[in-house]
Amino acid sequence: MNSSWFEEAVGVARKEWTAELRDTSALMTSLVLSLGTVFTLALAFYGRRAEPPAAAGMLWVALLFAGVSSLTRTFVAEDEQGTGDLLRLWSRPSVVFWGKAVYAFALMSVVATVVTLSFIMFMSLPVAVPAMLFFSLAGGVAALSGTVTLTSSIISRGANRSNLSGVVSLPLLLPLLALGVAAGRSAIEGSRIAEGWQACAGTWLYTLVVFAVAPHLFAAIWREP
Amino acid sequence: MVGGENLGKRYGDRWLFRHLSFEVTPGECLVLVGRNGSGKSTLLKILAGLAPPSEGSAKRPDDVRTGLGYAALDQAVYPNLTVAEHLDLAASLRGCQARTMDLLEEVGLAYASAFPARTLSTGMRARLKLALAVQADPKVILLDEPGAGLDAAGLETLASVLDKRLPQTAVVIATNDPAERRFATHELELV
Repeated sequence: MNSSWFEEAVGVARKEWTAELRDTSALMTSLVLSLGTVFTLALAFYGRRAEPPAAAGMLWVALLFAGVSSLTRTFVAEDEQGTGDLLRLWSRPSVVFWGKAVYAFALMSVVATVVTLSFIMFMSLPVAVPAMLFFSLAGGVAALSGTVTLTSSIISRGANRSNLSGVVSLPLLLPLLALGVAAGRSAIEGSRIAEGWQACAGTWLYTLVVFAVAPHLFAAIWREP
Repeated sequence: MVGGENLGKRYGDRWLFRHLSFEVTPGECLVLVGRNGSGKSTLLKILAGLAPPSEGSAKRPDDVRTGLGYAALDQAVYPNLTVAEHLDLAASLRGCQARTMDLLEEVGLAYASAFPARTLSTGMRARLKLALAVQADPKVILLDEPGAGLDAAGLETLASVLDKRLPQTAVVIATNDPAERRFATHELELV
């Protein structure tokens, strides 16, 4: 990786953001689905306080909806528009993967911030260890972005893509969900702190594994016409 | 240099073409002709590395990003990016100079540099794709029906762009248009 590689990856990410800011379809899809989930949960729990394990699980369900519904469009949109060949001709596979993943991380960071703050506010949820919640969500969002970017490239080659996105993504995301929920639970209730930090570290370890493996898998998928 | 060694492509049991061996060097222009569905566009995609051959192998520059320019009728552009942004993006990914306004002047699209691509006509998109194909001064240019949708002025522009680059570039054009066949130093008919 050199400065040229970095500039190229930034170029792909910038292209995605520019198109997204003019279209806002992915951002709106993510926010509508995840905030809709949050508001529904807030109504269901109106006047009652959710137990920390349930609250942590619900927060991750909202984030999962947001990520899988919008980020799987990343490569599917290229395929449907017929623009994938432009990227194949102009750039290297690793540049395309990292550029798309950076865009996905930026998009999910915005969505996760809005959703988490809304969730805490509407559910009147006290968070005992905010730093743990922040780091576990940051690691989770990074891993979610990398995983769904990869699965998006896989399903863009197949038929019936909307069904495929959940089927392909969910098994890969289950370990991340387990770690994220465990860390969120500890962060919210303020108990089993050591286990919570271990789970938090686990989300980052998962992120490392995803970003170590995914670019290689992606290169094989992307070059195969 | 671009070419093929014993190239063949089939869909199911039907061979589009087989046993194609050729080489196009700088200064040469190979025009692929043949009826609709004879495999002209497919052969260009194979040469560009965008489709796999069923047998044989294609020769192309090592670095496709800067060594090969490709423009095709069915090639899409990003609907939400402007004309100028396409050239800027391509340059940043290829690691070459953008020369955005120079290229847009050359293909007669400077006035539309800020237009989103979704608002372009077929002819304007053809001009944009031509500018993108020649941006990095590639050694090889592959054009699929480059004149489709172009008006008389557009066809003159296409001729001017190709005439300027042909001496130092290997060009392959897929077309049945007599106006585009005039560039041919060789013709290959797919049947």
